Amino acid sequence: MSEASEQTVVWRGADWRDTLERFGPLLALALLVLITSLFSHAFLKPENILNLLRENSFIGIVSLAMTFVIISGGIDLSVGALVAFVAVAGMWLMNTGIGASGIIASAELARQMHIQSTDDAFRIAVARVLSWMHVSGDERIGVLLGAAATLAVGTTAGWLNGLAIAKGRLAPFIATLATMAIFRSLAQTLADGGEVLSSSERYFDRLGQGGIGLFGLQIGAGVPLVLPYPVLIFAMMAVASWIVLDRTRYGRYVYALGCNERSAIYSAVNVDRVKVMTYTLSGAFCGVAGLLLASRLNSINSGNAGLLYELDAIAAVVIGGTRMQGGSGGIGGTIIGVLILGIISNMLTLMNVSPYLQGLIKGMIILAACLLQRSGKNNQR
Amino acid sequence: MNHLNKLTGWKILGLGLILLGGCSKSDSGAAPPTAGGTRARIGVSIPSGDHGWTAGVVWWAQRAMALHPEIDWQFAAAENGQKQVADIETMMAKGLDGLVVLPTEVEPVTQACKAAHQRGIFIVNVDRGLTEPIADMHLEGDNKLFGRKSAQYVAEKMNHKGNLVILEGQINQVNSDRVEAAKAVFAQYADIHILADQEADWNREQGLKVMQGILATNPHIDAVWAQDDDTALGAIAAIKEAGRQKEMWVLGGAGMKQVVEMVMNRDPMVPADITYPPSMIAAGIHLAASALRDGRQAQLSQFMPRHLIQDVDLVTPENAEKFYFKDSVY
Repeated sequence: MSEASEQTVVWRGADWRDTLERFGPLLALALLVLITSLFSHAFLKPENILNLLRENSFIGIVSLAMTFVIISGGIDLSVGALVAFVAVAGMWLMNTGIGASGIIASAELARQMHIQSTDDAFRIAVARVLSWMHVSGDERIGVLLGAAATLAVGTTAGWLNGLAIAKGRLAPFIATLATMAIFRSLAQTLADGGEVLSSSERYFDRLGQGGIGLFGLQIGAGVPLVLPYPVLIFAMMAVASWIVLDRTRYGRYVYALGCNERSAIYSAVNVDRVKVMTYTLSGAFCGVAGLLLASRLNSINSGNAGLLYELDAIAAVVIGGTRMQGGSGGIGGTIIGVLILGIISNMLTLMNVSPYLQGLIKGMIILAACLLQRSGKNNQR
Repeated sequence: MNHLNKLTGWKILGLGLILLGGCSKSDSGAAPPTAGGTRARIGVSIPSGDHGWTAGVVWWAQRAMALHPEIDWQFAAAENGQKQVADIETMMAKGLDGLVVLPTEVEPVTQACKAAHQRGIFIVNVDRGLTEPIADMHLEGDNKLFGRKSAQYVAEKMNHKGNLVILEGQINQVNSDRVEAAKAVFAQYADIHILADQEADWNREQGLKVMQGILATNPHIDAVWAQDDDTALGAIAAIKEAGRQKEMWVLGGAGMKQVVEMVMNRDPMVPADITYPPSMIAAGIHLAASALRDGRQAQLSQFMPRHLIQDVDLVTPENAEKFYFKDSVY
């Protein structure tokens, strides 16, 4: 096709092409909902919709942060490993707090009998400190301590990512590839390579498993229909993210940085600060996602929790219309991207598709969704 | 360029949808009703085929479901606990009378099964046990016996003396039951020296990698207790690469087709195998189907045992034929 004729086409169709670009992801979502509800009667049941939303709220929260990172022209590959690490660290501290007196007693006994204690020295020391601070034993305090640690570890880890990228002048891909390995390894070391089970019997799982009752509706006898807390938290964080990205100076700087870093510097934007803030935000969001996931499962597997979250989050962001190169995109698109990915895997289970073929179909729908909305843009590349 | 993109997009989407239509077993399909009028709906939730044994589980599950066309089956395979919980919830939303479950991770899956149990769904738990007594039936292999029987064979074949290597599996209850039972047997013989004890994740790549390291540091090895056939095949590859196949032999486990065949052909490196059949999922599926198809599970559960433990067998050249399934993937 010659240059001239393409230009003509573009000019003539500019209006509806613009519309398609704007609403492409939404259109793809609507199409997917329509097709899925035709194929399976169970899809539109409120119970299924709420399950679907809850299952995807964890990756959704990570994707919100990934939107900031990608718009700023960066990438964060460490999110999946960080979700596992924060969850393991939080539960480790929670369990140590709840069981502190037992840990100290068994360490004491082991010392008297001259045998190796079942807990390592680090854990015994932490148990002693907690017990000295009088925060041991109480389950509620343990849960709060664990939750606070989860968020703190996530935020700190994200801040370190930001420092490595802004001050260390490392490419985001490389820096977060390295921290991905580090976070996963730390998670596995703390958990001895296996699962960490919650020792809170009554409180910890409420956040991830509970919810707000919906008009007293019931799924079955004695089983109420609830709006799960993770969905509620995801929704609130989405609104907050939209406000920050769209309505604050920091948000405008994120776009400016992704468009052209050099001109952002010339416009007196403190680029380093924006970068550090963006990766810190990513880490903090991973903290929330890790806390909710651990609470949802009442346990966390250090080896495979959050595995490939980075790819799903990037896919959700890109399906939602955000450019990989940065500078344009938004929260709304990402939410649609998360829903598209979530509906695909829900649909594949509902429709009894062979597990070996699911990846093929998922991949093709993602490709198609991206190509369809790309077709609306007239000056790509 | 734009036109090309758009056309390709639609084409791929179309192809995807056709595939989807072809692959799915529609949930609205008309089927012969049973005496009660409605068909029993049973969900099967298992780990995806991430190593040979679980691939065998997937294969046997599909075969067992095909034997019961009178049941409305739902089937899902999960790579981790989070996915499996989502699978079980999706199935429940669609509607379930029974659930056959082999957990990937025990703790989260127990939470999901508890919700199913509260709704009166009949639960058959296969292999790794749920942490709370909510299953109506639990069918598992005897992992302690697996460890004991295989270790006794190894000790006798070594004439109660020599250098032994232990390869462990994925770190979980199944692995520790096997390893502890085996080590208790080896501990009875003062002349059996355990040179190395390392994790090989029940897969071939890890078996190869770990064994390479062990071969490099240990000049004389008599036998390898590998616990899993994939790991055993990886270890054998490493031993052959090092040119030390005359020096030692390997005992795997689970009853993989290729390994049973090697036993049958009297391969000197593989004198025997020990079963831990992935077909146990098929037995669980059959139990669920027969309990639920006439809606008489209440009467059946009056006499059916709640906990069934499957024996493990030593496969030797003499009996190997009995354990060889030609069309199985495993």
